[in-house]
This record gives sequence, C-alpha cells and structure tokens, in this order.
Amino acid sequence: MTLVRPVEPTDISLSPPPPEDMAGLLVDLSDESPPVRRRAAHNLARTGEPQAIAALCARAGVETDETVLETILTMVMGCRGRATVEGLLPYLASDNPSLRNGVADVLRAMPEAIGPHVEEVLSDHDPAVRIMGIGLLAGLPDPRVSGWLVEVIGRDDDFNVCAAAVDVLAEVGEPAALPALKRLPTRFPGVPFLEFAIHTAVSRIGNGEGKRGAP
Amino acid sequence: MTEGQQTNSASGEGAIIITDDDLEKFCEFLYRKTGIRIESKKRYFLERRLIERVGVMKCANFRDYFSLLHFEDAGRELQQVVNLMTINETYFFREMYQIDCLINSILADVSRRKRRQGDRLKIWSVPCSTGEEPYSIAISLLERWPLVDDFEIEIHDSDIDSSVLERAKVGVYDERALHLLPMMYRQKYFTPRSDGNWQIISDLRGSIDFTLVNISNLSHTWQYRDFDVIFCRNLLIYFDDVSRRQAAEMFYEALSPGGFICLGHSESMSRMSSLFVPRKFADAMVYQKSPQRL
Ligand SMILES: C[S@@+](CC[C@H](N)C(=O)[O-])C[C@H]1O[C@@H](n2cnc3c(N)ncnc32)[C@H](O)[C@@H]1O
Repeated sequence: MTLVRPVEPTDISLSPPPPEDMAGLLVDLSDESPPVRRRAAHNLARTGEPQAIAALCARAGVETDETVLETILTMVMGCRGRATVEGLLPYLASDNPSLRNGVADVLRAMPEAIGPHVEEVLSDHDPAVRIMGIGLLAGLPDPRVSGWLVEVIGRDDDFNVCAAAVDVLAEVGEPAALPALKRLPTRFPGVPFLEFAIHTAVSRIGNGEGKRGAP
Repeated sequence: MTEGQQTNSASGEGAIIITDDDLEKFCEFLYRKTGIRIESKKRYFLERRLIERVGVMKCANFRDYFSLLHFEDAGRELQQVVNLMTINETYFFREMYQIDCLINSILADVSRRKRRQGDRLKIWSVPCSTGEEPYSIAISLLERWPLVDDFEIEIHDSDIDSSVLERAKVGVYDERALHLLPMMYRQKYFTPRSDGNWQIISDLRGSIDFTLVNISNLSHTWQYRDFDVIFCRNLLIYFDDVSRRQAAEMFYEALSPGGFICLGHSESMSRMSSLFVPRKFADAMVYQKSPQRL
C-alpha cells in the first residue's frame, strides 16, 4: 500500500505559537517577500495590540500585492474596534478600488464601531467618501441611521450623495424621514430618476417596508 | 424570548437559571474559541445543553460554570461543550463528484508538478468528522488512481470534536453510513462484526492519522503546510463572514503553490476570498492557489 501514515505535528496543545516578537513582526510586514508579509499580518493581528493594528492599517495603504492586501484586511476584520475603524476610514477615499471596497467590507463587518465616526464621514469634503459612508449605514444597527440620512438629503449639495442616501432610506428609513424626502425634488428639480427613487422610498416607508425589522 | 427573561431547567429549588445575557456571553465566547456562531433559533437547544453541563460539573450556577470554562487549564470542559455543539453528519461517498474530480483531474494537475516518483503527495481532510470522508478518499485512490503507486500519499485528517476523532480511529460503521459505498469495496476494506456493523481493515486504519484541530485557531494550524489538496466540506456554512475569510487565509497558507481546495456543494470560495482561482473540471468546480504564488 502506498498510503503512508502522516507524521503529524506533535500535540497541538503544547506546540508554541511561531516564535516571533512584535518588533520583528513589524519589520517583516515590510519584507520584500509576500509570504513573509502575509505571515507577519497573521501574527500581528493575533496579538490584538493597538500598535499591531495601526501598523497593519498603515501597511494596507501602501501594499501593492493583492493577496497580502486581502490578508491584512481579513486579519483586521477579526480585530473589531476603534483602532481598526480609525486606521481604515481614510482609505474610503483611496484611488485604489481594491483597497476602497475592501475597507468598506471590513467596516461593514463591525457596525458597532462605526457609529462614532458617521458624522465625520458624512461631512467629508470628498463626495466619494460621503457615498461610501452612506453605503455603510444600510447595515448599521443604530437608531440614528434614518436621522443621519435625513440630514444628508437636507444639506448635501451633491446630487449623487443625496441619491445614495435616498436608496438607503428606501431600505431603512423611518416615517420621520418622509417630509424631507418629499421636499428633496425642490432641491434638484427636473431630475426624473431621482424623483423615481424618492417615490420608491416614500412608498416603501409608507408601507412599513423601509423600517428595519418590519416584515 | 425578551431581554432579561430567564429560563429554568425545572421549577423548584436548585433550578439552574440561564439568562439571555448569559447565553449571549456564552455564544460570544464559543465564537471566539471556535468561529462557530449559534443561530438564535438554536438557542433553545444550546440552553438545554448548558443546563445539563452545569449540573454534570456540579456548579452552583451558570456563572460558576462559565468561569470554569474560562479558567480550567486543560480545557477539558470546553472540549466537552464543543463536542456537544458540533454537527457531525457525514457518510461514505458523500458528494462523490468531488472525489471523482480528485481522481480524474486534480491529481493529474498536481502530479505533473511533482519532480519524481516517490515524491510525497499530501491531502488534508478537515473537518473529517467520524472518518467517512478520508476513508472514502483513501479507498478511491487505492482503487481508481492509476498513479497511486508512484507517490507516497499522506492523508491527514482533523476535526475540532475529540469524540468523532475517537470514533474515526476505531472505524466502525453502520448501514446508514455505508449505504452509498459499493459492496465490493465493503468486502475488500471492511470486516463484518457480530453486531451487524462493519470495521475498516487495520491496514487502512493504520495509514490514516486523526488529529484535533480547530481551523480558526492559528496555534493549531500553523504547522499544517505544503498540502496538495484540502477537502473542507460542510463546515464553512456554519461560519460567519469573518471566520470564513480567515479560514480561506489559513487554507491559502496551508497549500503548496498550485494546490487545490474542495468545498461542499453549497459553499463558494469566490464569496469569501479572491485568493483562489476557480477551476472548472468535468466533475466539479474547485479552487486553486496560483502555481506562481508562494
Ligand atoms: C457536517 S460535518 C462535515 C464532515 C465531512 N467533511 C462531510 O462533508 O461529510 C462538520 C464537522 O465540522 C467540525 N467542526 C466544526 N467547527 C470546526 C472547527 N472550527 N475546526 C475544525 N472542525 C470543525 C464538526 O466537529 C463536524 O464534525
């Protein structure tokens, strides 16, 4: 028979984690070899230390290898909290779509940590960031979501930002959003598809479909 | 159940009470340790099991039991709980199209990259549950892969549940587990027992090793490297998105360049990771780590 009994790693409960120190891992995170960087990312995330998370987030901004970027984002996704959110938020404005969309995925996975930063994101000078921020609100279990979106459609001068907010209001808007939605066409008159989106949002909210948790 | 509501195992004195808050904390703990998320509709089942364990461990209340789970050095009770919470359903020749794909296509691709005869070919079945999957792979290789004698084949098998591993090592199966296995294989690789069940022959049992591994725990998995093929079927459906992505990372590290991963029929790597390339073969769709990547 050619099946050979594998020699397994000895008792896993006794086997030590890879023998690396924080300083060494931080150096490895910029190593020229992608596998070394990926391994460093795994081990840094495992420490859960704010310093490690900050380093991972910083590396995400300059990482050129797609597999290493994905590893970093997956690893920080497991470290829910302020350090991760603050480290990643700036990339919502990145020109690199893999980074921008990857970061949005990570942030969506930690809704409880985004809450304190919503207002800052929704007032960013870059409309692309405001739109990404609105996209995050759809899954946020926070009673303020509908109110934030109402503020956006009342004050934001960018048409696309308001359109994004209307789309999310159709999903999670509360009846208190109806007056602002009905006023919105006067801010951008003569744009048929915005009118259509508003109509959809108004009727969904009116039917009780907009509000989260409704059947 | 509403927030703060409590549950009794039985009415009267000594009843064990587990609040919603307790359950929440326990689920978070189990999730951190294993990656398994208990859906809210399974909470009732969980609660009954926990009440049982509090009693068995002679703890005064849930809080005492929970701290025992945290601080018990050997982690024996945590293992008991894990064993209770896992779903171990499996049988011989389950989702056979993937094993067909292994024999008909994947191994041809893998063996082309091997340098010479006698090289090692490593397969990892994780989770292996009670052993039906790895034994099915082994039997299929021995019976159907023409190059089987050209390589030294290692089949590694792991699961988080220590009780299924014990059963896998003994290798005794009933009709239900064997219903898809062709009779000629049963006669060749099993011996009948007086209780009507069948036991894997000792030669085959001796060439397969079973180990306790939690795929969400890097200190368990970091030594698993250089695999040519990994079977991870019918586990990731129980994971949430973060744990799935982390599992994909771990598999990426565990595979050799050009290595393959086979998932269950309702699981898709594309939804959890872009590290792998989908490969469509005649029998199945599987995922491959790029041969150029390290
Ligand atoms: C439904 S069985 C699948 C068995 C086999 N792969 C098949 O498809 O028939 C799922 C197994 O996953 C194991 N499991 C659950 N969480 C795990 C984890 N974090 N690491 C390793 N195994 C795990 C369970 O103990 C269970 O035996």
